[in-house]
Order: sequence, then C-alpha cells, then structure tokens
Amino acid sequence: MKTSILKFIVKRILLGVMTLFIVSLLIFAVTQALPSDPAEAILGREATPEALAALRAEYGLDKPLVSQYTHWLGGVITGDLGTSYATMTPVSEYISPRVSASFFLLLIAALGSIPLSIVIGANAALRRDGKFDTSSSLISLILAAMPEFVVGTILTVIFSTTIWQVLPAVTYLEVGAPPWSDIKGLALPVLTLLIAVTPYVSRVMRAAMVEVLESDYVEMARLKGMNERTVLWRHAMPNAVGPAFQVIALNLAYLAGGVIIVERLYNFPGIGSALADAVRSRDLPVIQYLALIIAGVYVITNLLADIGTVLVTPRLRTRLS
Amino acid sequence: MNSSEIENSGLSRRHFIQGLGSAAIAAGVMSTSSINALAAPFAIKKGGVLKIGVVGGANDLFDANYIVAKADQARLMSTFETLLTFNEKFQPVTTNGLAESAKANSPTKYTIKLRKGVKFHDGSLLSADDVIASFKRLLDPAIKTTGKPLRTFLDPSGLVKIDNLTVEFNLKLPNVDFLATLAGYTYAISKAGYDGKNQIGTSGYKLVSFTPGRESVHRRFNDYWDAKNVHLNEVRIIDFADKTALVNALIAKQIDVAVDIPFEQFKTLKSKKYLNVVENSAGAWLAFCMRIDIKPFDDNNVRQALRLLVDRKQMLNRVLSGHGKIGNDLYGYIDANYNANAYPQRQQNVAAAVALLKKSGYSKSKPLRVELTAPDDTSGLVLMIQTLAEQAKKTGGVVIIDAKVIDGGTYWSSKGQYMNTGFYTTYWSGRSYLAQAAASMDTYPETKFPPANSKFRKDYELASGTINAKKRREIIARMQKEEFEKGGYIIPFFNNFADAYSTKVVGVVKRPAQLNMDYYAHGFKYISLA
Repeated sequence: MKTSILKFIVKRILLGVMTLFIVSLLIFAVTQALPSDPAEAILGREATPEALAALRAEYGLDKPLVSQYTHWLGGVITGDLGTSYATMTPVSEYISPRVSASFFLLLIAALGSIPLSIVIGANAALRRDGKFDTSSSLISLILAAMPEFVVGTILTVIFSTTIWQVLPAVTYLEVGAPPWSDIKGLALPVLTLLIAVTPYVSRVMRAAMVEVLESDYVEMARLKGMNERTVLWRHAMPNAVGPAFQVIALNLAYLAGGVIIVERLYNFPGIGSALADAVRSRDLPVIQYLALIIAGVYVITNLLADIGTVLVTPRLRTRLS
Repeated sequence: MNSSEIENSGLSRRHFIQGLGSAAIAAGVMSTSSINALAAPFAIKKGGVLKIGVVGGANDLFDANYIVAKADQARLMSTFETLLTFNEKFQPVTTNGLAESAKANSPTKYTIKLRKGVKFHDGSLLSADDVIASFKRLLDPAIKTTGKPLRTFLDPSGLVKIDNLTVEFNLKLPNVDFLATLAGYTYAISKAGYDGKNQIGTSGYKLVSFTPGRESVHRRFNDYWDAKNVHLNEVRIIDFADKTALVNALIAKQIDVAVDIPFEQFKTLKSKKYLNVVENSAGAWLAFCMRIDIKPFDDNNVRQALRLLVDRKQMLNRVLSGHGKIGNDLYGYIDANYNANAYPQRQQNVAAAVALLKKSGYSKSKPLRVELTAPDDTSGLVLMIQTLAEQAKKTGGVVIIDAKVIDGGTYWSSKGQYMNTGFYTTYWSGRSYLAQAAASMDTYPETKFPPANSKFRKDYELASGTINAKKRREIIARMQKEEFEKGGYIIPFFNNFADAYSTKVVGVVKRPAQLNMDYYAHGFKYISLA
C-alpha cells in the first residue's frame, strides 16, 4: 500500500512540474504581449534612440524571444531572477521580504479558516435545519456574496476609522522587520481573508458531512451501538474532510492571487501590491517571477490537497492499494 | 478594488517638473523674513518622529534633480536645497535657500553668493564648485533630470566660479525669469561628484534608509546651517499604494500627515477635530491638447468651437469637486501678467460652436467625430474626457467625442497618445507665463503651437530680454492674444491640492505654495510634534 501511495505522489509532483513549465511559457508569452516595451516605459519621455538601444541591450531585450525565455528560465532555476526595472535592485532582494509577508498572512488566514469552517460545517450538518444550521447558512451566504474590498471597507469603517478606532487601518511594517512585528496591523487583513474563505469551505463541509451522515457505513456504525461521538469523529469526519480539502486548497490558491485587493486596501507590503505595481511600470522580471510564484502556490496547494484527501479518506486509500 | 479607486492615485505619474515663479526680476535685494515670523508664537517641543504618508510605489525614485511622483518630491525636498525659494507671491527669495544674495546684473548675467559655513550631510563644506557641478549635471543631456528647459538658455561654459562662495551664471539667451528658475525645487544643489545614488544634501535631515515602494527614513542633521528651525528627531516618508488606505491611516492616527488628499474626502477630514486640512492653489492646470498640425485640429474653427463647447464650471465641479479656479484657455495663473488683455471668461456657447463648425462644413449629417484620450493613472484627466464627451452631446450630434482611457504606461511612452495624436490630455504645475510658453513651445511641444507664420516665438524672445515690466506686459499681451484666438490648449481650470494632518503637528505654514505642505516645510523645517 505504501509504495502505491508513493507512486501516486511522485506522479502528481511530476505533473505539477509540467504544469509549472507550461505556465512559465504562458507567463512569458503574455508579458511579451503587454503594450509598450519596458525600455520605453522606463525611459519615458526622456528616451533618445541611443538610450533605448543601450537599455534594450542591457536587459537583453534585443535578443530573440527564445533566448530571452531560456535565459529567464535558467535564471529562475538557478535563483538569479534579474534586476527589477522599477526599483533597479535585484528582484530577489525586492521580492523576498514581500513573499514572506504574504505567506505569513495567508498562513494565519488558513490556520484560522480551516478549523473554523470544519467546525461550523460539521455542526450545521449534525443539527440539520436547526437554528444553528439556518443562521450559519444565511450568514455564510451573505458573506460569500460580498467581494473582499467591500468586506474590508466595512471592517475598516467599523474597527478603525468611523465607529470605533480600536484596530489599525493599515499594516505598517518597518523595512526589515518580520511580518509578525505588527500583529495588531494584521488583524483586519486576516479577518477579511477569513471572511472571504470560511463561508465557502463551511458550506462544502456541511454538504459533505450531510452526505456522509446519511451513508450506509455510518448507519451501520450506529446500528453496531457505537456512541454518536465515535461515529462522528472516527467514521464520518475523515470521509467528509476529503472534499473539504479540495475546496480549501482552491480557496487558498485563489487567495494567493486574490490577496492583491486585500493588500492594497491595507497597504500591506506583500506580493499582491508588488504585482499590481509591477504591471503598471512594466517591470517584467517582477511580473514574471510573481506570476510564477502564484502559479506555484496553486500547484502546490492542489497537490497537498490531493495527497491529503487520499490519506484521510479510507475508501480512496483502499482503492490505491 | 474597483477601477475608480485605483485611478484615485491621482496626479502622480508624469514629471511634475519644477514650478517656476513669477517674472519678478527683483534685482539684487531679497528678503529673508516672512516664514520665521509665522512659525514663532507657540512653544516648540523638540524630538519625535513625524510620519508622512504619500502615494508611491516600486518606481519611486530619489534624485536631487529629477522626480516623477509626489513621493519623489517629498524625498527630494527632505534632503536637498535650492539656491533660492519662492515666497507666497511666487517671487524668488533667499529665505530657506543656499544663496545669501542673488543679483541680476543684466538679463543674461546673474551673480549668486552662497551662505557661509553650509555643510553637506557628510560634513564637507558647500562651495561654488558644488553649485557649478550641480548645474552641469542638470545641463547634461545624458543624465535624466528636469534640466531640459535650462539647456535652451544656459551652457556649461556659462557657469563661472568667481570665488569659493560666488558663482556667475552667464546665459546665452536673455531670461528675465532666471532667478525664478533657480528657485525651481528640482534645481537643487548636490555635492560635486553626485551620481544620483548617494543622497548627500544640505537639508536639516539626512537620509538613513530608502526602500522604494515602502518608506524612507530621515534623521536630524545636527550641523545644519539653520539648526534652530529643525525640531524633529526623525521623519519617515511612508508609501501608500492608493489614497483610500492613505486617508484611512490618517483617520486611524497611524500617520501624522496625508499628502495630497482626494477632494471627495475633503469635508470628512476637515470635520474631524483632531485633523487639520490645508488647501493650496499655485496655478497647476489640467488641459486638453489639440495638435494644430493634425487634422481636423489644424482648422482654427474646430479648435475655437471645441473651446466654446466646454461647460467649465460643471467640469470643475465634477472633476475636482469644485476645488480649483475656472480657466480661460490661458496658462501662467500665478504670473502678474496672467490674462493681460483682461478677456472675459469664456462660457459654454453651443450655438456659436455649431456655427463655427458649420463654416468648416460640419453638420449633423457630416459630424465632427474625434477621439480623445486620457491615461488611466491620472484621475482628473479621465473624468475630464468623459465630461467633455458628454457635454459635446449638446450639439445634437454635430460633435461626437469618443473618450478613450489608455493604460498610463502606453499613454506616456514615446509612441503613445501623449504628444503623438491630435486630441489628448495633459497636466502641468504652475509657472510664470514665459517659462510655460517656453516649456510648451520647445521642451514639450504638446500642441505644436505656434504655427510657422506666427510672431509668437519672436515675441517670446523679446519679452525674455525686456526688463521694463510695462513693456514686457505689452509683449506678453500680444502673445496671449494669439493663444486665446488660435491656440491649441483648452484649459478648463486650475486645480488646487490639499493635505491633511494631525493637530499634533505644529508649525505648518499656510500660504500659497507650489508643493504640498508648503514645499514639504522646506525639508520639514519649522515642524514639531505637540
């Protein structure tokens, strides 16, 4: 059984690498299609033909596309990401603190939302059509319908600017300070992300739980005289969490891109705001790297979800062996 | 975030070029008074960290002689100083400047004497060599600075060191505005050998760190020549991706100053007891540009008709919530010679516009259909083109304007809509009439005015060499007549700008100024925290 799972994991990793490779081609193609070339965007109206030519040579923009691509891909693999056109500093130096800040934000949001949505979903399923079920359904439906910037704006109005002034309206990280140095400033971005993710996941968790609770094996377990707690935690939960994993993964992956709005709203120095900035200033090395990171998050979270689902779901585990 | 909130990042993209003041050739004597008197009466507390929020991003730059956005302005002002500065009437003075005196010997010869004992942040003494090196840098076309307008009337060979503290500027063309030119904030003095990377200036705060898109930290410089007016321990200039977050941070008391607040928020911020709002107008303007050499705008009937089509008041209200002054298609608002012919205000007159167009053969069946563009990174401009397109509908289909919003990176690029199409938008900071005429004629020929047969350029050269104020006014009146009757700009209004700050911030001077926070308090001088 162990070797089969290992085989499955290896296969999935290879598929993931393939996906990333195709994505890297796409990213490169799309950034090439952006109107106005970077040398012009950098020099602006001060551009002279000589200066443009010099800059194109410096950044290798005068080389054929294929060699530009292989050069870039080689750089990604060896860790040499080039120089940001906008900041004129190495991309890794500019992006690294932002990557860790964004991942920290996502991690806290994930650690909060996963258990929360599982508990809400499971409870709603257990007391189907009860008070908790209907009210949690209604609330999560309303919250799910609101885009992040609306949620964020409302939270800001409530907690920082208009009604109470108890939480910071923006995250202020001193340069070089770790993301956890402003815990208070993280409150609203994390809360916004929690509200963005939890409704979906708890809805899926509820549906899965309802299905499992009605299944034959749960019925069987009950008939065997097991107490309800054991039925729930030993038999129902593992089978219900599987599908929820998939949705959690999709939502986290979505957050890696969707965090742009939240970061902008709270002036959070992460990859989202950097990406928005880079697109404006045609900072191709930064755009390409960030797009690849976000794609990587998609691939990895989905991979982990697939593996997790297989490992926790007894019937899938058996099928593989 | 929706697109309008992103657009709200405001007038922040292109160069703001240095503002140039009124054409006063106040030969010799200059005051060193006003500000110190204004800042005196309260007890000043020393120390503290001032946090200033400003819209900026990864393409922030830090240079003594070049800026793109407001964040760059704030940083330049925090570190570097100019020879002269402007007073509240936009006349050049030595207050807060590195010059002890400035003398106009003739319209082509100016002598600047430097203050004694001024130190750079690295401890070295300021000398005439640094001034000459700074202006050589501005004159070097290979270096990206705002020195382009300077190059038309000054050559490096015209910079002469008289003694260690005296520099003579010998111009190749007469320029009665030259002392005002020296007060332009991007014509700042750096140490000889400055390469744009090591930010060593002469201001009251020296740079500790700068991270593009995040913040810069500036610490008090104890050897500052005017140390008695430097009160804070530290100034932090913090970047904000957009104005919503900036305003929220100020309301939540996370920052002390929000630079360039959106006018929609003006009333809200003003109503808060713990905040002050300061509004300024310095003749900055937004405009529609019509290229007089591109069809159909080569036809003056078309240009004049479009000027008559604009409901300026409605446009001002819609674009700036009324925070500005209505324009009359003439620039140089802060110049004593603004509208020298005293033309009455141009009003919307649809019938007259349609009549003019009829002369050129346009009608409902053969409408004048034109494309008008604005960049998406400049909020005022987007609203302006949309408003004009709507106002054109009053002609009942004789004029059809297709308003198109273009990505800023494309719009301002060398092949973009800016300067390359017939009908587009622009913005400028305020400057004197002649300085603006030169900039619009040669540095950024946005409308390609004047036409070949015009006397405009000759008149410009004549006026630039005329010391007699009355005679100069007469020539300028002639130039303005030609622009009013045949020019390519539609200038619907001059825009104000506003800042909000905590009542804890003491010493903010409220007077007419071209930069936010009274030229960022000339490098955050006079400012203390209560």
